Amino acid sequence: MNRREFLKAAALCGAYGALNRISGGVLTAASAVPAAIPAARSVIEIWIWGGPSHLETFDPKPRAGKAYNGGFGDIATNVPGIRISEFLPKLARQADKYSIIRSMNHSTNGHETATYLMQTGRMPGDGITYPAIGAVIAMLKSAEYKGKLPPYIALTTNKGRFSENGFLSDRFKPLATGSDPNAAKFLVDGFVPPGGLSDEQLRRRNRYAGMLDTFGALTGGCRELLEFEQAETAAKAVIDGDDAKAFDLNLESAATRERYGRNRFGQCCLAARRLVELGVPYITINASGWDTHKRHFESMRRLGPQFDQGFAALLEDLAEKKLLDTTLIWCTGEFGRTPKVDYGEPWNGGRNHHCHCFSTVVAGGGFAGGRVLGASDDRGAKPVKRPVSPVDLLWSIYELAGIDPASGLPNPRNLNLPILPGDGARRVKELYRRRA
Amino acid sequence: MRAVTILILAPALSVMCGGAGSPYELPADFDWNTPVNQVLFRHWTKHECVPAAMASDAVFLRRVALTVAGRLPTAAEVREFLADKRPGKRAAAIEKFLNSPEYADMQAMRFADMLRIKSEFPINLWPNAVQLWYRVVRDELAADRPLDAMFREMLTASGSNFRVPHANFFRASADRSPRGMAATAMLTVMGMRLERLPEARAEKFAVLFSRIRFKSTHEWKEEIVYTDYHPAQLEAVLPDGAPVSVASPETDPRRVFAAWLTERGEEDFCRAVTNRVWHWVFGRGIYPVADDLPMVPAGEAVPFCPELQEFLNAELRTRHYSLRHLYRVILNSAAFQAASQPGAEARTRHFAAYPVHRLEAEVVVDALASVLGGYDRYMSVIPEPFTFLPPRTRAVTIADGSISTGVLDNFGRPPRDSGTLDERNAKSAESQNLYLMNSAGLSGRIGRYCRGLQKRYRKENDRLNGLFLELMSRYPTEHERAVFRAYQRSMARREQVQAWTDTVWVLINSKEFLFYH
Repeated sequence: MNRREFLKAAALCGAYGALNRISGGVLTAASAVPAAIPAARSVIEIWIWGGPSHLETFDPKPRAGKAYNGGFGDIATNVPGIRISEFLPKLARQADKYSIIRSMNHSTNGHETATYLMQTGRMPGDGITYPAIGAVIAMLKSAEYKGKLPPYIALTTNKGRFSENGFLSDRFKPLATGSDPNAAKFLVDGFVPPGGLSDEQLRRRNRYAGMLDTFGALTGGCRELLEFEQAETAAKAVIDGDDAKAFDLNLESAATRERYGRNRFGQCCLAARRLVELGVPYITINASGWDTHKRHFESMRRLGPQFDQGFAALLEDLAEKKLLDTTLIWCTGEFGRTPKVDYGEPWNGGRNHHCHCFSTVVAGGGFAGGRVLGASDDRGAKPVKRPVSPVDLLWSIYELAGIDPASGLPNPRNLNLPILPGDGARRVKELYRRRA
Repeated sequence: MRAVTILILAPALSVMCGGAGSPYELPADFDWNTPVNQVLFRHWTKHECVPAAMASDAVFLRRVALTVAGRLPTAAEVREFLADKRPGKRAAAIEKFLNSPEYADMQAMRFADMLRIKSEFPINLWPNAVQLWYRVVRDELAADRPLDAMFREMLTASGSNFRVPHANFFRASADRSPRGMAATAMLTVMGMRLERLPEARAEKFAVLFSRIRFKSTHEWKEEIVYTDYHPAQLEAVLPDGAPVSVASPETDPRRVFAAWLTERGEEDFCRAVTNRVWHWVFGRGIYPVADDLPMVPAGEAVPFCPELQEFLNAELRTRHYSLRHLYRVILNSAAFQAASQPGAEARTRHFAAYPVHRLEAEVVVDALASVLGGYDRYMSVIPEPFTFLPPRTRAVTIADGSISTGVLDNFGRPPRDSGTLDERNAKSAESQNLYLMNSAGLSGRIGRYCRGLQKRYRKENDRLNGLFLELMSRYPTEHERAVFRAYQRSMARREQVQAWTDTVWVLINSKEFLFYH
């Protein structure tokens, strides 16, 4: 049986779970993952939507001059030899927990296309819309995940259509929570009940619904109506169950909420930790506001501290709770920003899109901390050492999550569509943790 | 002979449906004398398939309003229709809806899905082309422009996609290689998939689309669509396998295909249209998959009734490719007017009972908003300048496939990437029930609606009637009235409002509300 036939058979059985056990979930002999490293149970993606400046985050250039660094410098971290931007003092104290790739690069400067590339490892245009990494991981981990919340959750919005399920089943579409986790009540519509009704009132209403179901009582079943009943039963299980309490940040102490920062990004990080505790396979935090064409440094003064505090608290908290080894975190934008600052009108100190060189941070779940991979030139314009492509990075994330990226994805047309193109020869195995 | 057969085929009042007491069925016989019903009659007789009873007037009115206009009938429309005793009232209602502006809206939504009208990835028409093309498609549907002329223009149009509406047809193909555009053309006008053709034929057919070019202008995202008139001779084949050479440099190879389509390929074109329309009306095609039609019917891929397929093709051809006429024929048929019987599988397969299927995402959202209030504010922040649709915009009328909401996506609004019918997802999902049962926003709207209901109807009996007419397009049954009164009595005096909000909650969560039935 070749892969194509296998996929066909798997799709016919609706056997995504089986596919996971037989093919997708098992790593090939070529795997670079040491056997002692368990596969990450959950993945948190911190998506810095719009393209964060690598110079003001993880690849500062203090000696490049004001035309490039805007007069901002770097600071030491708790790992000797690693220095990051002065905008990130709290993250500097957690550098032993993450590694930095300073030589990320690709060749597309449009938000949409670059996002699609970073999420799927492919360029658009072949008429096939591939699923984002979150949907693939959600699918392949759905057999082991027993929670009632969807396996792929986006805090709080989707990145347009770039975080979606492509040709995979709609079950692996991200749930975008909406609402604001920093509000008095994080109202995830549908999951967090409107309130105001007692349990007894809810039970009474359900009984009433049964008595008033004239159409349902008079007619028999067909596939469409049975599917509806199944969906209804599943929804009731969520409503009656406790899993949705993961969204109730008021169950955390005031101190913990403060520690993450009382702002949208910080509380998204806290919500992500609660979802990890529940075992949700893939959580993406979509941070916005980073497309800083104009007045870049003013934006950085606002965005930098929130990002710094939330991300640092997440790393520290996960480590304290012994969850960092089973939780893989990756933090990136779709590209970086132009090293040369445009001080002219109307930009007034802005940076534009820069795909040729940017930084990505990885942590936990099999990634080592305290390392730097690759390097950029004196201005952060181009990689000068160990260039890393989106596919190289994605390959490692899949591999450390226990998924073979060369395995095929089930698709309605039964085409042979591997999760990622290529053979992963350049995956970032230098950053894999050795032994626990 | 005829009389005997009619006796056998006397509509079967389903035992489960409780006969004359059911609010969903009418103990009346279909008019077997219309041409379409004769075709169905012969088919059902041959397959020993006893048709379901006629759908009740209330079910019929709701069904036709939702199918044709994408909206619920108003309480006043239901009262008037149920009180009307004229024999031709159903045909008159069909005409009313077919000639309403909402027909063009609903039809434009279906066409925009098929034509992939959206601003953003992966189609990238940009709002300029979206608005231009959508508006023209909608106007042409409202004017019932003959479909052959409409599609011929799409296949052959050249010019700026911001100025020549139908020049967007190839512009809006996600894959703009010759094969990709050949696949788009074939899917749209023949309801067939290029990849099902023998490889050699697919390759040679794509040659007809190899001279289409796109040229950008100084206007952001504007493109000129044109044909590269090249002196070299093209050797191609048409979908039926007939070779064709395009020798003259003045001949646009696209025109060769367009000419074939309305001559030798006419049956394929008609079959594509009739299957899509049948799918839009019944949630499934005359063939099992309405836009994956086989070159030659075989195996599973056969029409449920070949004679009906031929009949509808002929109706389309001989009536100047009028879409409205095709709808008229289908809506007046016994297949559309039969009651649904979800348990009766064989009967439903032959359309001797109406197949239940879930309302479209936009229709669900509009139905809730039209009754409960609270239309969403549709907008898009990509691209700049931002787009804001006016307040109280119906979701059915959103031109741009890139403008959506979480709720619309949740109920399966199509992404408009490929134009296939299965992009629209009619499946139930737990997240839909969670929204309907447990949404804070919806719960607030139910509360406001019930407070309004109390003001509009002083008497409780009128209020219950009003609630049912507005949400369910029918009066409550005696049993339902009794259940409501008992529920109300079980509640403390200060909880009385809740009897009403709970009733609305129960009804919008019911199969009867969410499904075409």
